[in-house]
Amino acid sequence: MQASTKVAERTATGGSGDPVAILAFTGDISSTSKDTILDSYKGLGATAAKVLLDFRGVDYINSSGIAIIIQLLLEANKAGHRTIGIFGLTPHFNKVFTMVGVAKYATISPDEATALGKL
Amino acid sequence: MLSSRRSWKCAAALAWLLLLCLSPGLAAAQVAAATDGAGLGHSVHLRGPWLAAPGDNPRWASADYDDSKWTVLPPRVPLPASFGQARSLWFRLHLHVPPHTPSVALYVESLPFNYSVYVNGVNIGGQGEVDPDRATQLHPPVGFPVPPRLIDDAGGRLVVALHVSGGPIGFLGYSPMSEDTHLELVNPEEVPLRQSFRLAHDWGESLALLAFNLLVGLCGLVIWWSLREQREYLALAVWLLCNALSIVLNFWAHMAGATPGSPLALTLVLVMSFSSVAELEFMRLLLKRPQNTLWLSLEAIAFFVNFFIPLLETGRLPLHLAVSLVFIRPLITEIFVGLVLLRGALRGNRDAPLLLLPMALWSVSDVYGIVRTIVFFASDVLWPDLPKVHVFSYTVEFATVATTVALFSLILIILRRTIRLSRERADLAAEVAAAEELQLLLMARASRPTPGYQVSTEYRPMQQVGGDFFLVQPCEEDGSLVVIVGDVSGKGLQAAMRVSMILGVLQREVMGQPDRVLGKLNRALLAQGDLGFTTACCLRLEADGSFCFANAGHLNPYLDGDELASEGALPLGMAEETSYTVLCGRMDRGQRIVLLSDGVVEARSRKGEMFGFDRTRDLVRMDASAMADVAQRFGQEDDITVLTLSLA
Repeated sequence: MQASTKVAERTATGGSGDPVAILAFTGDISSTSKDTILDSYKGLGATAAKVLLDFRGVDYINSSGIAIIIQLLLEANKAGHRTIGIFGLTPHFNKVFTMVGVAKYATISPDEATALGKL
Repeated sequence: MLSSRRSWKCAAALAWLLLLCLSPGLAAAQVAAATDGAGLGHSVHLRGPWLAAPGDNPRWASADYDDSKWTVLPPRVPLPASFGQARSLWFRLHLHVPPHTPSVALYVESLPFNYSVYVNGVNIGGQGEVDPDRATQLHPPVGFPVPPRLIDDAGGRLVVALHVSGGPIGFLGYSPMSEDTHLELVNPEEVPLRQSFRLAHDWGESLALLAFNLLVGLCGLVIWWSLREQREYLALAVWLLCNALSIVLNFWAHMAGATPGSPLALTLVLVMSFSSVAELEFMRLLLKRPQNTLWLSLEAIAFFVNFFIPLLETGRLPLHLAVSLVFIRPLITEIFVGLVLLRGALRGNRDAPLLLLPMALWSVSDVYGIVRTIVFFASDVLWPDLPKVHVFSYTVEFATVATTVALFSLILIILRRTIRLSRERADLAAEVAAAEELQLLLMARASRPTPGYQVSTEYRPMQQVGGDFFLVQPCEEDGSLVVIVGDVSGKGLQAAMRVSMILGVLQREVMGQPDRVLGKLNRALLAQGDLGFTTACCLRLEADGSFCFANAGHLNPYLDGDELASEGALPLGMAEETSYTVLCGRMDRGQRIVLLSDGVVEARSRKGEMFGFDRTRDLVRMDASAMADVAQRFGQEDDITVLTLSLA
């Protein structure tokens, strides 16, 4: 049985000294997570220019969940004023995210420190 | 010559009869004839006529009190109008019991007020607190032993006095000495059996209703558990199970003598309130009416109005106000819901007509009760009660008939819906079977003869139909072979329909370079609208062993166990400006290319461990069928597709 997705928001400082908004996901990410994830992303406000997506608490992402993340990245890319990074993926989902072209729209890092350093 | 024992019996019987005829102050009282030394040989109904007076005076219990001016009450006659508002009444009955009767008990049954019983001025028992300001309830049957010394001291002449309080006692013409009330002199040994019989008899109707409500309520709960989106079954279950619980609590309160305002009585009111709200909610959901302010207001009224019942029972509210408040809930439920049911029936709701009859019966019962009460208040004229059904010794009230009809209607509704659902599921199964057949046909067409190449495919959908697809298309012009393996997000019929559309597009298009094939498919999917997430890998193999492939978010192909890594690209149908990088290579005769879907990589064991890319790398040296078997045995969680390709 899939665990529902929860999103926690916090801020950190990037390597450039700029503030970075971090959305930490927990649980499973599937088609039912769409509203939770996109509402959290839209709730960041226009001033959040740098965003990190923290997947350390995510157990499983199915194809629908990956589609939601891609949709989020495409929106950010289209808007043009926001840089997104990803960290905390398991080796399996790191590979999956690379296969589906996420690396073209977001940096993928093994941990938070590395991810913040890139922003 | 008669035995001394039998002589005593006869003499006592004769004396009893003579005393009956000669005793002053009696009109047509019945008296008991003791039959043997063990007590009364048979019970004696104390039907009266009793003598009655309103008010309260402890002297009225005394055997010597002069009650000659009291009102004579014939059996089963309503109280006089002058007694109508009395909250305290005394009744007296003169009778004879043979002296030296060793044991006799006064058995009281179905007296719905608090009372105390006196024999020759001595209080032998009672039930409830005899106080005009105290609430009353129907007490369980009970026997009060009459001390033998009272009989002996009085020479068998007894005055039974009954002090009754609560009410107003004469409301709607009720008399404590009604046909339902039994006062008898009995052998004390008979009391337990009589109590058991009376409880079983009085509560038999309630027991039947309890069983009915429980059965239908549980059916509703089980059906809702399987069909969570149909919340009307949940409302039905809550309504009927609360009804069943209220019957149990009512019985418990009856046996415990719980007074209004006690925790048990308040719990009963709370359960009835939930039942009222659930009933309205069931009707709303059944008739597919929206949850709006009107319904919420009615449900709030239905919930809170029940809390006036304890106030009514304590007698602290003015009677007119209390009765009006109690009548609000049935008026709301029956008139409003009746109109909504009628509207639903006229608009074609198939369940509404089944509930119209019981609703009409309930309405008749409650409206007649209201009008009868109003007429009694206005003119002291008491209309007859609605017809009752007599089944042996049972009397079934009109409202009970309505409730029974309603429960049968609910059973019919559940049965009909279940049959309808079974038919819909059968139709859906037929549609899925047809989709499966179509998919197999399309897959068969996707695997054409491939001279010069060896191609094997293995397709294992997770459900009857799946979201994976593949196509093998030889090009006659140049002898090349184009293969494509893909995966539509989701499972089941919806994914299968998308696959059918994709295969249709692919089979219509002339196969070209892999990136162009993916590009065409991407544009076709975007043109269809939001079709979710589709990954695909397209590979073109030439007769000399050279190959090129492009990947749209799919697993990379493997060449003899080595992954052919690609750059990564968005899946199909997500963005228009997606480009797909083409990578090329060469395979020799004897080597093998494997394309597969993520159903292999994401197979998951019972412990939750994923099959993973590492195991997949080791697996791809097997043949297609063996690979699919291994992944399936590990723990299939998605459709599995394996395609192997080599030079013949």
